[in-house]
Amino acid sequence: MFRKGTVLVRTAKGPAAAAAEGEGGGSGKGKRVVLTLHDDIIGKAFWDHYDDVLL
Amino acid sequence: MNRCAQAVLAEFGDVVFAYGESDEYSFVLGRSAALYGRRTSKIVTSICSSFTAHYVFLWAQVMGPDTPLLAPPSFDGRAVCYPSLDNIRDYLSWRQADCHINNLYNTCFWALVHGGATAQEAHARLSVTAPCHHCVVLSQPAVST
Repeated sequence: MFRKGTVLVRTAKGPAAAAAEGEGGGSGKGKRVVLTLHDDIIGKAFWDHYDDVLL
Repeated sequence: MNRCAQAVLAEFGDVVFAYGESDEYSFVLGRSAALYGRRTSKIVTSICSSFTAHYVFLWAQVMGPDTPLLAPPSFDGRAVCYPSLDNIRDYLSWRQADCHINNLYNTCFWALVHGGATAQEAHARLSVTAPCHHCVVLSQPAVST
């Protein structure tokens, strides 16, 4: 009932760069892009799991 | 919208995080981002332009050939420099809370309409109901789904 929007994170965790990774360079180069539709980014659990994404 | 955001992340490596809901998308650039020398206008216009261009470019691919784009889309943009990661998390929490409120409203609105109310009646009823009480509206027999 309560969809939570869409989250796209660029993370070094997990498999190597996915198709969504581009050629724009910058600090995110080589990191994998993860898309999710159900994450609760208000809660603490998300940020504990993706503790590196905003750095 | 999500495909457009993916394209923005692919094009701008300094974008480390994105959150989208309804007709909006937020893009977070990392603390060490050096995109366009951190010039606000260049960053905002470039990301906004890329997003809009991809919206048009990907439309037929996502919606199919039988659903033409009926009007040229446009998006506005703004940039805010937050001093700490906690501030960014607070901002993102605010946007997700807004998403929750919008979804709650839309769910109740269509439940009322499907229950026999006109769009005007549904809007009038919800406009005098606080978001925290929308679930109560949903539970009332006349609009149960």
